[in-house]
Amino acid sequence: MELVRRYYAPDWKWVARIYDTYGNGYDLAIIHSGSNRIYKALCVTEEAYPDPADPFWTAKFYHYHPQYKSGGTWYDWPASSGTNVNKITTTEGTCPAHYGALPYLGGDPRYWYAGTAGSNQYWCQVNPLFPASTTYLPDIKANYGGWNSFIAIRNNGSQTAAVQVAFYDSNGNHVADKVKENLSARGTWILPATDAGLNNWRGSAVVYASEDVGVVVNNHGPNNTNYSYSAAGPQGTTLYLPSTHRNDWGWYSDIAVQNVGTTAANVRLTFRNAGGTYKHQVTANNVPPGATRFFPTASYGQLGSYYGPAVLESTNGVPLTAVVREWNTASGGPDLAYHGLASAANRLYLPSQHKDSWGWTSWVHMQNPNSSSATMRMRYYQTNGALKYTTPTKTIPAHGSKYFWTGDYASQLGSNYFGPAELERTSGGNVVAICNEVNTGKALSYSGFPTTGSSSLCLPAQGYVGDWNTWTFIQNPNGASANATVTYRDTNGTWRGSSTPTIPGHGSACLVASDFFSYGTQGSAWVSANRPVVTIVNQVGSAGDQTMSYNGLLR
Amino acid sequence: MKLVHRAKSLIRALAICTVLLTVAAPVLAGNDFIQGELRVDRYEVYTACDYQTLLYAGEGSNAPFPWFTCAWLSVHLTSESEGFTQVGILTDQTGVYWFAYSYLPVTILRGWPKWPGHGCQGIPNDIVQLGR
Repeated sequence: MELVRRYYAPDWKWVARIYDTYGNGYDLAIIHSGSNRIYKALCVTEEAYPDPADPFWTAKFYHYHPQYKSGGTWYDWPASSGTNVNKITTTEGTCPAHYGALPYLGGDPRYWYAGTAGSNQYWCQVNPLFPASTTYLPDIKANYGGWNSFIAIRNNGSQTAAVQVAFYDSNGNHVADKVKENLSARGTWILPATDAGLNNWRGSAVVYASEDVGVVVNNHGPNNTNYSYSAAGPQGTTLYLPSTHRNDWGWYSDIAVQNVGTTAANVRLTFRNAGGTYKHQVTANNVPPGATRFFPTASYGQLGSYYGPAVLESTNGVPLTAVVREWNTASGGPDLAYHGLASAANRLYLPSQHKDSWGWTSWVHMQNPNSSSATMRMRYYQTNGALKYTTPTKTIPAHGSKYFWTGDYASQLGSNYFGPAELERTSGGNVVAICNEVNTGKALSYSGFPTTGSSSLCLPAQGYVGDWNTWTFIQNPNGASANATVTYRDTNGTWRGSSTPTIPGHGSACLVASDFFSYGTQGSAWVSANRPVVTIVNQVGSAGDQTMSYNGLLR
Repeated sequence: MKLVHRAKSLIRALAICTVLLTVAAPVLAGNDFIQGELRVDRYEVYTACDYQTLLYAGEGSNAPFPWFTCAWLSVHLTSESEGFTQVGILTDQTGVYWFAYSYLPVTILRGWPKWPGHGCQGIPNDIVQLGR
């Protein structure tokens, strides 16, 4: 279907035109209007019926990729904006029993069904219709074994955003959604998964927003156990998991794998021991778009007592994202989580390393994805950028893993070391790495940054509330100093304070939310710098394993 | 279509008058919509002067003539609703049809003048078919 302004002698007219399936165009009618612009555009499915009772005639229509032509080229209709929101709405009282919309057909946000409904998969409101950002959340829980997810969504835009959080079960069914029409510019929406009406449930979610948003998921469990992840993890058809466990000093791993593609994914997970030897393999076929499959190592007795790396693959080319939760069997035992990693590098950046600093020590787990060995060393820096110690090299076998533990360098690092570090390749191929930081009964994890970062970073979850405070660690990977500005805002987007640290080359800066927020305040922070930097945020409480970390989101 | 909606508004107004005069049975209007509103705030969008979408009916409707279900692309060519202009497909028990309609004056180039001076409709399966 086409509405086009064209010359029909003696002047320009609007023409309604239709194309057959072979692409032949047919002019249907001339609309007598001198307008050279439009003021509104709609794609609609309609039922027309006689009074008085609504018969709900059957309607089954598919709408696909509305476009406009500019400069002789067709463009997809642009994504939603905060003030001019694209949305689907239905006549009151007809959805979902009679009519509704089923958006994102085949994972395509511009392809939707609109018509006869009768299933809870049909949406009464889709907002926004074409999202400016889509963010995947692989591991969501609602009253599941005492676990609850809190989703922190920050609007990075300069105007109000419409946000929709869609929840999917493991079969890809859209089981619930929550909408916030007006998330203020730079404001944060903290959504408990239970607010979507879910109970005794775990699955996945997708955040659609009319502006760029940054998302972090905080998972709070029983006995003060906690873990978090930034919901913009790497995506790819191969993801690397440097550290997985089964019955290893009480440690196990639950691996949440989400299909971020548009067709069903076939997933293969291969465990190897640290020496790179094959250990065990599991598969899951036909994982629907948006859905998550959980791979718990506790179920794989073939692993026995196990520690080693794993590789996650999509065997049919559909992209995946993953979160690895590591948990301990001890009561109130620590939990931590990290992303499956897609990009190996010859130098990785680690904003926070400890050796007996406030009781913390750091483990950097490296994985070598290559078929030949790689040699790495760690360069520990002080916060002022001075090099503290460079370790001897360690050789990671092909497909294997190795770790650097600060406890192995007690004499060189001293008894109260804290600072950033750089993991450096000296020979072989590129590697991936994560960092686990542990304390008595506490643990947290973040991913090593495979790049020097960005001059803009989004930190969606900041707070000084309850037992919690958030600590932001900014690492400057460059040789020269970086001038940064860190701006704290509350959930309404209101400015609550700023800091302008100068971060020495190879050094780091640390900021704490309570210096900017009054007690009881939650919100976000934004880092701007004149050079690329990397950032993690540790969320720390006072009880049990009230510790969790997430990677700052590069923008 | 909005034509029907408008016509129903007139019918409803007449019906209300009738109700007031005769205390007859209540009259309810009714068209149901699943409406997707598209963004038009960008200069390159609202000045493009050429807009298209792909539409198809998955299957026919059980609506008896003259009632129907339909889907369309529409634009407003004026800042008010009198510029409403649409092109789409329509299904009822008799088949699937294309149609074009505008609140503005229209010259018909194809089909029959279902809405004289304002719009036209094809014959069954002219250009359009179910599922395509």
